[in-house]
Amino acid sequence: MPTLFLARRSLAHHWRAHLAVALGVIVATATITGALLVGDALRGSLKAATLERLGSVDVAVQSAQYVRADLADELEPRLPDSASIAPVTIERTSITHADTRAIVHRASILGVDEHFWQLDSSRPAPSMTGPIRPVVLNRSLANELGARVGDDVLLHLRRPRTISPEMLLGRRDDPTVSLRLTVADVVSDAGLGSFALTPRQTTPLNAFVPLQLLQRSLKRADQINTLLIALPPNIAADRVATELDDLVMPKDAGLRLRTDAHHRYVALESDTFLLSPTAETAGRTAARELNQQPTALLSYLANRIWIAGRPDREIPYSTVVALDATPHMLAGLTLTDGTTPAALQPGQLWLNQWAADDLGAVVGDRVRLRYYITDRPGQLAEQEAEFELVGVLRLAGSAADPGLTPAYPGLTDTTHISGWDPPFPIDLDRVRDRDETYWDDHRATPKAFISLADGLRLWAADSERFGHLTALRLDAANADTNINELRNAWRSTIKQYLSAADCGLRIDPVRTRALRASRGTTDFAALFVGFSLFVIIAAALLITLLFRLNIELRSHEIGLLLAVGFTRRRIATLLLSEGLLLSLLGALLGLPTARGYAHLMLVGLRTCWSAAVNAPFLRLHDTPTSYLVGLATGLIVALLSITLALRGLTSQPPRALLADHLQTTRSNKPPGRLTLAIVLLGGLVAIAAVLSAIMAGAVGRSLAFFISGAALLVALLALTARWLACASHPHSTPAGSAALLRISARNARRHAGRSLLTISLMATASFSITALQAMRLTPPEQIQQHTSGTGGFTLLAESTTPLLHDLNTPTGRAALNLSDPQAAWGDTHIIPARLHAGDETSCLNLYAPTQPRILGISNELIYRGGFSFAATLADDNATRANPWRLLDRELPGGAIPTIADEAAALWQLHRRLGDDLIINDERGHEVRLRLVALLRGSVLQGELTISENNYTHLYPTDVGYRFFLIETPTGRAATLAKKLEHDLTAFGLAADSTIDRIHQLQVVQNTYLSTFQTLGGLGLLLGTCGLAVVLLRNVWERRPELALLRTMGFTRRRLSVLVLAENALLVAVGLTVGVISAAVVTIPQIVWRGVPVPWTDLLAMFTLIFAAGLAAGALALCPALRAPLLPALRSE
Amino acid sequence: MLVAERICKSFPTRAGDLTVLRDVTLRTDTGQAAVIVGPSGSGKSTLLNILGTLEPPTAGHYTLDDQHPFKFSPHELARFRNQQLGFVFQDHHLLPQCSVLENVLVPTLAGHGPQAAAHDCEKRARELLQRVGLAERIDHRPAELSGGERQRVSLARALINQPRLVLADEPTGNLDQHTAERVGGLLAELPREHGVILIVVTHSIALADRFETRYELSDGQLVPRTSAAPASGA
Repeated sequence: MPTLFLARRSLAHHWRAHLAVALGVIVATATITGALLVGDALRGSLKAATLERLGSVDVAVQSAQYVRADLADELEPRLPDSASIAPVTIERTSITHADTRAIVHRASILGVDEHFWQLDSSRPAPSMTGPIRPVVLNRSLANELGARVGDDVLLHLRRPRTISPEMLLGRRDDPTVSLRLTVADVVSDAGLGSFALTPRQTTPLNAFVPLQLLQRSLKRADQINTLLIALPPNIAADRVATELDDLVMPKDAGLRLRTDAHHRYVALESDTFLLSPTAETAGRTAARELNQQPTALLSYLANRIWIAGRPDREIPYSTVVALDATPHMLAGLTLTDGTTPAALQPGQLWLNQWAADDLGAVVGDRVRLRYYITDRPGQLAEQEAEFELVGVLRLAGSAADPGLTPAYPGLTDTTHISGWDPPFPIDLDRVRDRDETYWDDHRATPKAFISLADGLRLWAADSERFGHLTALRLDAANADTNINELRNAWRSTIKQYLSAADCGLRIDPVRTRALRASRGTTDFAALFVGFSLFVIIAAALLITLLFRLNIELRSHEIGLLLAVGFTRRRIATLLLSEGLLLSLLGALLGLPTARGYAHLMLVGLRTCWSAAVNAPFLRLHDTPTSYLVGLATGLIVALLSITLALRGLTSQPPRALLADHLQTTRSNKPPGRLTLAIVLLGGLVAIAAVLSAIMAGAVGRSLAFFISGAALLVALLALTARWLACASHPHSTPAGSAALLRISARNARRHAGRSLLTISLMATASFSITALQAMRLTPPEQIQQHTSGTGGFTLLAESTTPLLHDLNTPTGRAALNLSDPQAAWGDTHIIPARLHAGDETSCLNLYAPTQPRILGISNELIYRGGFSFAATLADDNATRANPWRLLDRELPGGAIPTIADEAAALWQLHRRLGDDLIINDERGHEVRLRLVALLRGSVLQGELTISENNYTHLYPTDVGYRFFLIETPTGRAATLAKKLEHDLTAFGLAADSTIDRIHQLQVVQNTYLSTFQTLGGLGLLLGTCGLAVVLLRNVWERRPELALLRTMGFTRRRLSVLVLAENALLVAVGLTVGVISAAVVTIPQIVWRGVPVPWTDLLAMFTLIFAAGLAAGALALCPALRAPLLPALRSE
Repeated sequence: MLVAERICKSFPTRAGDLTVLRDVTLRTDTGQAAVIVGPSGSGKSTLLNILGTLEPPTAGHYTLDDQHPFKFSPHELARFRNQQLGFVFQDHHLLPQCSVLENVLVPTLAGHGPQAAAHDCEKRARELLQRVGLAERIDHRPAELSGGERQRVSLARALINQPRLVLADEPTGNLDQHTAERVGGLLAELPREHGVILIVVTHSIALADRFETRYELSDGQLVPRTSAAPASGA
């Protein structure tokens, strides 16, 4: 007969008693496994959602500028046959219903053709036929807009510009394009209907239009900004990058090589007017390789040229060229005295003969130039510079070359100056007939020449962003040089030095990125294990309690086994084997229960807790690993609990066991070493955690206080254990109720272990619930305080199309077509910021941010200061007083100083103060952002903040401002928001109250706390069950005693008082221990954060816990008191 | 041979030490039996527990076949108990989850080798059960047996490992007269039949009368009794 047989037999025989233990194991396993399944569900659902939205797309090639669509045709043959490419144009848009005027911001417009829909062969393509100008909306967008098939909608999107509007020659007028389209179909949100390159849990709002229609509307015929590529499984995204590097031509970088056969040169010029730094480098490197020395040119427009001291004679609107002339080019220039000029030095200037004559200038005169510079976008300022006239050039040879000024549509291609259509203000009244005549004869031929050094100093402030040359020229030095061959050689050499990234093409491995992002920011499995911790603890305590009670009932069995020669170890093994079998059974049954539990959690997350995750697509995605880990963990928890239950049981004297007289109290002894160690350790951990909390940031502080509270809880429970274990001193028992209560108190200590478990359950419940209640966030009351989470801003606005004009000035408002632009705005002030679209870093985003949203804030905000900081790297008084100034610092290693919200850094980015974060800039280069300060509870949780200067270096082609922080009195906020949204509909501007935004963010944390509390409540329920079992057992054991008291004339009511008082004492001690520990968590929160104490809620919680405890007592008492008297007496 | 010399046992109480046994001396040879009578609280069961090594004496000397069990380690003591001793309790303490046969076999599971093969153990258990008249009840559960039958199972269990000493604590205390006589008869035959030392503690005169060697425990001291006349307080 094998030993295990006994365990099996015992298990079967005592199945009723073990059923409750098994239920405990089921609960523990189900809770742990369920939490893991919730984690699986989150990860699986996020992954499924994002992959479904990508169709078969693996790689997206995105371009900051528009590129030729035939890149797709050229790339496709270079990839394996099974690869497919869809050329598309994707832009942000806001959409208005033409009839109802309902507006939806933050939508996307996708110009697509049949190739796009072929990326998901599982679903039919929607119908784009019918209306002349069709649009297909996805279901979410149609619902939000209230649009149906046949309705007209207006789409507003940015007008793409080749020349940056932030340059002098960039157009700032008419920045948006509006399309009136008819809804031809509504496509399901499933699949490509919700196509999005950035993973997010909310359904993207998409409008699909025929690619050609969008191209025409944007005046970008045959151009696109995105290539979507589906690759065979064995081909990596790098292959696309390699092929594109090989494929791109200088024209894809907006470069053109112009030959001038007459003047015998080849000029490298850019569609963006200025050669980008990479283009200039490629041009110069290629020239060097061809053994050529290029001439660098920077052409600019002077609003006025005059002789200093003689302002009455001026030449209006003339081109001036700054040049670094080669000897060959110099040779092409002739001074009026017939000599060849020497190269210009800084401060020197040549005029051509026409201009010198016009001004009556002679060599040695001081010539002044007045010109525009761009200050901020949409803001031009005039500046002046003075030069010494060192020569007058004949209007011949190289000096008579209109090609010195690159072509600029609307300027160089007009026949008259009066026909100019420049993007800056000009006064045509100043243009004289002779100026028109000069234009007729020489077009944009420069009238003045300065050194390149002067040109760069005056006109190339943003050179790192946009470049600083209008052309590089290679001169055909020898008469036998074929100019076309030179051009071709230069072009092919430049091509070698241009990568796809240099052409603005960014290869984004969207599928890989989506998979990485769908792992999520938070380990939801761990989070829910944490949330369920109290349930798990309660279940473990129940297992311990019930198993112990079961074994106690069978103590004579242990006594017998000891008597017949079983060693204590063998008996423990035997009982553990029984426990193992029981645990295995319970854990196995816990697995299907876990599925149900996880399902319930997901229902909760989709409904009452939806604010925490905002992910209606959550579904179960079970993995075998979770079941295995859950099973193993459940087993371990159960076995540990059972081991705890057996502790000390087999060490009882066999005689006592045989007689069913277990020792449940010990003699009066000083506290044991273990108790002292636990108390000391708990106290030390509590003190250490409090100290670290004082030094930590807000989030870390809450956690540290929580740890200190928990440590204190353990220490107090250890002391309680000691108190219970010490036998009470004999008292001279007074008569009356006091005596009865004293008897109750002594009864509570009769079964110290059971009482301790009861107290532990109550203490843990009251601790968790109280501590969590106090951790709830409330929006700041003083929102206009600079140091609050709102920074003193009342509104936060974001537009789909960038604004290039200053909303704070009447001129800017007029340029933006705001109604009543001259009206005084009083206390309202708007600080604009640049915004690079990316992954939101706030807790509203479940996906791990791989490319976070970046905010570029101006010096105005940096020096204004505001917001509250949790931690900074400030090391001097200035930055301590205003940590925003850290953004202006230059950091070692080229890291960019960055400020993030503390919660975003900790939970979303998993970074701490001083940590670096790698992101890709516009060119795809890796850039390190260093967290130099962390905001506390701020409205800027969704983005990382850097200085505007750094921003423009990272994203040179990002134009204008899309993010606005608005200071306005609270009373006016709603009206202002409405006005801005209305007047700036075309820009898709949406304004939100900062307080609402903070509330929205806080709802997430508060919902998590609610989840925690709900599960805590479930744990409390289990605890109450445990309490009822303990009391039932206690009362049952004391039946003879109670019966005896009844024979002596005690009424049932009096006996009830006796037992309930014992019960109330246990619950009260538990509550007190829990509340004292929770005070460590809550009081600092109240002091530090000024959080109002939710007294009512807390009182309600305590009452609930106390009532639950008493109810359990009453539940246990009733059957015992109803029991017949005689059988109870006989059992004495 | 069982030798207990000058055994003392006292228990600490709030009012000071309570002495239960004073210089108790008992010698019994193999194949012999001794019965101990005495009033309630006289320390009979305490003496039996000491002889059964369930609790140590406060003072004195105890050997069984020249072995000093109280000098053994816990493991050796368990082995000693398993191999050398057999208990018959008043409350029989059968495991309710096991059948009659399994209950008899329980001591063989204690893991103290060398153990006989499982089938040898079972064979012996069946023989013992046959001897106590329960051959027909081997698959029954304790709950399906009468009190006397349970006690007979308990007797068989005490003998399964062929012990040197069998200790019976009020073995007929819970039985009716007829059943008690049958159990008593079985007990009386034990020393001769199985070559064991049998120590019986009882209140029962009828049972005591079955044995030649009788002692009375009074005021913590063990004195020989020549007849089983009613003991004071019995």
